[in-house]
Order: sequence, then structure tokens, then C-alpha cells
Amino acid sequence: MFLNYYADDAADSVVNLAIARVVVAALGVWKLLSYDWASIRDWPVYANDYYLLLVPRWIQPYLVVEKYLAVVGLVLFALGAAHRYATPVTAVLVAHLGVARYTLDPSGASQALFTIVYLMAFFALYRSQDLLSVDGLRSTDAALTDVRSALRAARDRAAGRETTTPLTLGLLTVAVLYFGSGVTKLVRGPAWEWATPWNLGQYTLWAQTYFGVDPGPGALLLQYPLVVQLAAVAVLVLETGFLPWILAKRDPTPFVVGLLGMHVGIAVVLGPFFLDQIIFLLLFADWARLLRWVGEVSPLPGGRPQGQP
Amino acid sequence: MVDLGQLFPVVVALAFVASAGCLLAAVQRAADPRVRKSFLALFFVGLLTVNLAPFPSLLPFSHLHKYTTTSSNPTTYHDVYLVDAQGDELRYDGDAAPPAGTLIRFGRGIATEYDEPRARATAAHLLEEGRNYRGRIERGRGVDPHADFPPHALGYGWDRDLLAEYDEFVALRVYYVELRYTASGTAIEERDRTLVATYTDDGTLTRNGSQ
Repeated sequence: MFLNYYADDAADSVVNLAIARVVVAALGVWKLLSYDWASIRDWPVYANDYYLLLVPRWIQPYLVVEKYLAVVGLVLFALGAAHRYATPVTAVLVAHLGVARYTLDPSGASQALFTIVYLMAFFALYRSQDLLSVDGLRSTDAALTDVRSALRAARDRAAGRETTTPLTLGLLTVAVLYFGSGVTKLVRGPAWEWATPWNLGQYTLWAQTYFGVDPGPGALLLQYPLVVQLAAVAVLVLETGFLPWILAKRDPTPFVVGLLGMHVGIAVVLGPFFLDQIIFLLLFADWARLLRWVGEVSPLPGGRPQGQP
Repeated sequence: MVDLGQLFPVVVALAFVASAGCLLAAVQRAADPRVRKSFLALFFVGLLTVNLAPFPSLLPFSHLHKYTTTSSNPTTYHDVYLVDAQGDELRYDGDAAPPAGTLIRFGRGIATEYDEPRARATAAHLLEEGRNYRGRIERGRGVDPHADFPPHALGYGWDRDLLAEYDEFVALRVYYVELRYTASGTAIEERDRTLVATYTDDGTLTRNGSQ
């Protein structure tokens, strides 16, 4: 279901790369347009003073302009056009906007802007593999009359590619972010205290009080201390184990499904909603296979005829 | 002796500029596998360092350290409320003060950490933002709340019905909240809150009972 790109089970990665690129770009556009950039300058204080050299007062009025430039860049990135110039420049703009937001909101939602930046950097560096893109198709010699022949041409050219792709590096990066969170819990918790039922129980009660989420699911969970403890251990195992699991070239599906479940559980029981992380994890699904399956179940005009590889 | 704390913002800025420069240069020369490999080595060293070392992120290298310490009993935090002309209190909606979202640190700042002018300016800003956000909700925000990227947390938030119960906002209060749990951590035994700061729209700030 999910692919370990580090283990090179990257069949059809040209299609998956293109889908991942569009999803990352769409997430970036959505976040940039949803967030309020104009009000950053109105704050008399900051959450983190040490990033202010990068977003001094005189720059703050231009953040809105920067947002629109970045949105244009992200649209080009979605199309895979001008990867060499637009993508790295846009990545720097998004990173700078991320720093600006981080001065007031050092939350996971701000952090996610940097994960988008990393993924853009990987696409720009490995643009020669991103063949199902405007750049990739323009560099193809044969005249491409339809999507099918474009796909075939991109696949043929990808046959001799090297094994590292933007998604290999993206998977490692997402895994490192969980690893850092998990190891820090093991060390600072420390693990034997973090994995107690009272620790997660208290966090649940605090979060319910602070975020004001529906107390029903949490109250139900708290009736079963053993389940609470298992959930705490599961968090430590999932966050810490994901990276070694990927490096061991195992099928990542159990970990990805577990982490997705963790995020849904956190949103329902505690309140914080890490939608970005859910989207990043879904980048590693085998979308090409899903599309093929959909094509077989309901043959669409222009879809691949049945029985072809 | 150089104060490392003073130096840190410079290190942060240099790290950002250097990272941006490395990216732009590496992408131009990406056809050379040695360039790609060097960039990736630097990238993962930076990312692992920020993820495993206990200091603030050297952006763009970032981490996702969430709830990394064991929860304490009691748990304490600062909570922000608005007060209407009738004296009724409404808990602040973090979405009113973008991009902050979570206001615990700003409540603590107003109550204890900031000097007087900064505390007053912050309280005034939050009161003003609370009024503006209320106005936007009352005028009808259309599809925005559904089309926008979701807020940090699901749960408490203002809506028209809730706001209709309140008169005009005239003051802001910060409470110091203490949650004490039962030994099993499955229930809140006691919830105490102490008023630690009040800001009224005539510009008066009272902290810990003293002006």
C-alpha cells in the first residue's frame, strides 16, 4: 500500500513523483493563502526573538507580496515548469515565510512549511527524474499526442535512472522528523515515565481542558488505563522505529498506517490536528497502483487498456 | 567574554542564508552527482542535529518535538479571557490572534515576563484582535472557515450564537490555571485559577494586584 522508496520498490515512481509534486504544491498554496501574513507586523511581541534578524520590521509589510510570489512559484512547481530556477527560489521564499510565521507560532503547522521546502529542494535537485512534468515532457523528443504516450515515454526514460528519487529523500526526511520527536521523548521523558498510563492520561485531561475538544472520546479512553499505556508505548515505538524500519528496507505500511492512526487519535482525543503530517505520510502511498486499479474497475476514456503492464 | 545568547540570532540568520545559498548553488550544478551527495550530506547532518540536540531550531532545519517531557502534576498555564461591558467573561479564541494560535506564552508574558510597556501593548493587541475577529464572525465569514487550512486544534472556538450572549468587550484578563490530577492520572481532582493580570480599554494594566 505504501512504498519504501529507500528500498527501491519504486515501480511507477514517475507517476507517483508527479502526484506527490502536485500534492505538495497544493498543500503549500493552501497554507500560504489560508494564513494571515499581514497581521504579523501588528504584534508588539514575538514568541521567538532569535529569528527576527531574518524578518526585521521593515520586511514585515512585504510578507503579503512574498506570499503571492511564492504562490506563483508553487503553481510552476505543481506543473514541474522551470524546476531549475523557480523551484529553488520558491523554496527559499516559502522557508522565509515559514521563519516569519515561526516568530509567533512555532507549532507543527508552521514547521510543515519547512517540510514542503525540503521536498521542493529534493525535486529541484533530482529534477532529471521528474519526467512527468512540463520540463520533463518538453525534453522528450517524440511528439506526444496523448497522456498515454507521454506516460510511456516518461517510463521508458526513467528505466535507467538511479535509485535515489525526491520521494526517497522525502521519506527519510519525514522519518527523521518522527525519529527526533520519538528519541527526545525517550531521553527527556524519560521513556519509562513517558510510557505510563498517568502521563498520557494527564496530557489528555490537560488538552481537553485547554483545547476544549469533545471530552467523550477521552473520557472513554481514560476508563482503560491499559489501553492508555499501550497508546503511549505505541507512540514511542511508531515515532522512534519508523526511521530504522525504513533504513532496514522493510515495507513501511504498518508504520505509516500506525502514524496516521496516531494523528487521527490525537485530533479526536486531544484536539491538535496535524493535517500536514497526514498529507506528508500519504505521499508515500502507491498512487500509480491505485490509479491502475481504478482504471481497471472503471475503464475511463484515455485510461490504459486492461491487461497492459 | 562573548554572550552566546546574544550571538544566537546571528548564528540563526547566517545558517538560514547559508542554507539558501547552498540550495541555489547545488540545484544549478545538480547534474554532478558529487554536488547532490554533498548537499544531501549537509542537509541530513543539519536535520539530525536540530532533531536530536536540545537547542532552538536553526531554521530552515526544524523538528517536531511535541509533548516530549512527561506531564507534570499539577499542570500550570496562563489562560486569556475577554470581559464584556456587563462583566461577563469569554475565553479567548486563539484564532482571533493570527498567526499565534496558542496564547499560553503571551498570557504568561503579559502576567509575568514582559516589562510594563510590552505587557500593555500585548494585552491591547489581543483585545483589539478579539474585537476584530468578533466583528468578522458577526458579519459572516462566508466559506472562509471551511475553505481555510484548519486551525492548530479542533475544539473550542467562537461562533455567532456564543458571541450573541456577550456585550462589547472592554477588558482582557489573564488567569494562572492549575490542574491537579488524581494519582492515577485519569481525572482532574481540582482546577484552580488565579487572576494575575487585567487590562482595561482605558489603558490600565494591573498585574498581580499592583498597577
